[in-house]
Amino acid sequence: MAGGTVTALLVINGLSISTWNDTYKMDSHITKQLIFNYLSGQATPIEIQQVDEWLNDPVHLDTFYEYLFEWEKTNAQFRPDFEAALNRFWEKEASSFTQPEAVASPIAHPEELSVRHNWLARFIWVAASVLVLLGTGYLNRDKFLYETIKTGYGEIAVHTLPDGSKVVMNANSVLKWYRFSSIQKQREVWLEGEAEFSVIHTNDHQRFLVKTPNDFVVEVLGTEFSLFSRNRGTKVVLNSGKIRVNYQKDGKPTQLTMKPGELLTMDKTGNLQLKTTESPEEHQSWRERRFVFDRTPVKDICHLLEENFGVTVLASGEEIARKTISGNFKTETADELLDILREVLNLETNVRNDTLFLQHRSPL
Amino acid sequence: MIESVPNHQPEIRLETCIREVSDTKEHRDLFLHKIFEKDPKEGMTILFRTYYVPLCSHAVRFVYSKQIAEDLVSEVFFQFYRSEAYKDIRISYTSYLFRSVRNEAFSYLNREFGRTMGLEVYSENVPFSGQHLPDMEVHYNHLLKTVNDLVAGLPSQCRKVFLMNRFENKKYQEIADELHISPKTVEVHISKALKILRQKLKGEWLGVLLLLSW
Repeated sequence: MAGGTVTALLVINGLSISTWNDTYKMDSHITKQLIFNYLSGQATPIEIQQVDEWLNDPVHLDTFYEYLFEWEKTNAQFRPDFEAALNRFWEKEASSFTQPEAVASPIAHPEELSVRHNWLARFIWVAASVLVLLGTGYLNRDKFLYETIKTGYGEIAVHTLPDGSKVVMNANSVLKWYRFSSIQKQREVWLEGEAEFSVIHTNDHQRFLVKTPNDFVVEVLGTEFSLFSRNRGTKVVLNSGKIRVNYQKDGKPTQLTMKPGELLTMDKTGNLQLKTTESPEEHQSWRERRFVFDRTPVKDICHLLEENFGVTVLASGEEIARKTISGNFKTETADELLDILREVLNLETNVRNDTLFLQHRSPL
Repeated sequence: MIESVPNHQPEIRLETCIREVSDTKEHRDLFLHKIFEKDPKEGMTILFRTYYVPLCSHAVRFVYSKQIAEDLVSEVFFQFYRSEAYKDIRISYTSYLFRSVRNEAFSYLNREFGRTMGLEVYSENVPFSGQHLPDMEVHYNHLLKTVNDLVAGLPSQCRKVFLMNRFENKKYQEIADELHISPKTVEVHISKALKILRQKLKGEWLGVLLLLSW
């Protein structure tokens, strides 16, 4: 069921400038006139069916929206004053600049649509950003020097690097590499977030390095592994091949070699742990939008929700934070995961200031 | 006269530029992309000029209120600017903006007409998250047709009053004066129209919600 959604998502992710020309070409039987009829309710049931099917292929969306735009231009229901709207826009922009909290708070502009600001509303924005995946640099300076790919909350993307190596990126992750890599002796990428790499071996035995913000470097020769690097720590799981890990220990560079099936974790304070994992695939479960919990405390699940979906969830009290869940859950969204928490642990959630609080269900 | 010419020149040039490139969306997008790279404020001005009216027109087909349509569209533009989404945009601006407006209009309708149907539990839990299901386009189109047919199907006087109140944002008393009926009758017409919309749209929500929660 949900697998279909993932595939469709990836297709949308794949839309980039290079595919524009292809997408603009039409299926011969879907004409602009037909879309216009469809929009104005003048298409026959057979035609409606045809357009619906055509629309289910994400490749056609740009064409559809282009026609919609044209249709609205010639069939405007009313003509609002865009100059006045633009003036209001700059006023709002100026006031939000001086008092940023005024915009973030739902009560600051009661005359506005008060519904905007809950965390779900923010999700809707993320929904729109599915279109905007292959972002360029997130720092202006970086934009020139680095090629950057990003995933938003709830998104998984597959990407082929310039050397042909494959990377599957989990939600809310950034990967960048030096734009002029051809003049380099080794391949280097920077990761913030979580990703699985499948690295290919080059003829000239170029090294492949993955760097993280906390001076943690994974060095590879023809390997499959996954790397997790977020604020709360770093984790490497090796599927096959061999990797060397360089990190800082007491301020000194240190090296360590990993074998397949090993799991290396480093927490925020720099404590390193190397152990053998019986099930390396568990650490890649996110690829199938699956969460594998093995006596995982609620506290950690809250981190996962924040990292993968951008939802801030807090346990009300240590007792709830320490409750654990085990099992293998397929979830597409933060809500599905929250439902599991609510049901299994008999909790309820309350929203306060953009944060969800997990608490005991009230007796009523 | 002569002095005012230099002030206006750049404006005119941009206008012609837009007109020239708007033939194909590839050119329009590349053009907007360049403008945004150079000057996001200029970019927003052009976006308003190009898209504000068509987007409002589209939104109003869902929400049937000029005021709400303008608010929704302005909010989309505002978020687009504030979140600096223009920096990341690699695909069609048209798709991005229309899709965002449709999402907003849908969630607005869902709140407005879904709430009284005891669906608030669902609407809070709709997994309206990262993914935009491709099926949503079709659902939005059908919703558009449903709303259109529902309003068109209202008894004529009821529809007239409803549109005056909702679309044109006129007060009960104004409508009563204009149509020579009592404000009480105006109220009856409007609540009747809203009741029909709520009842009929309920099925539509369930369809969409089921799709979202499978």
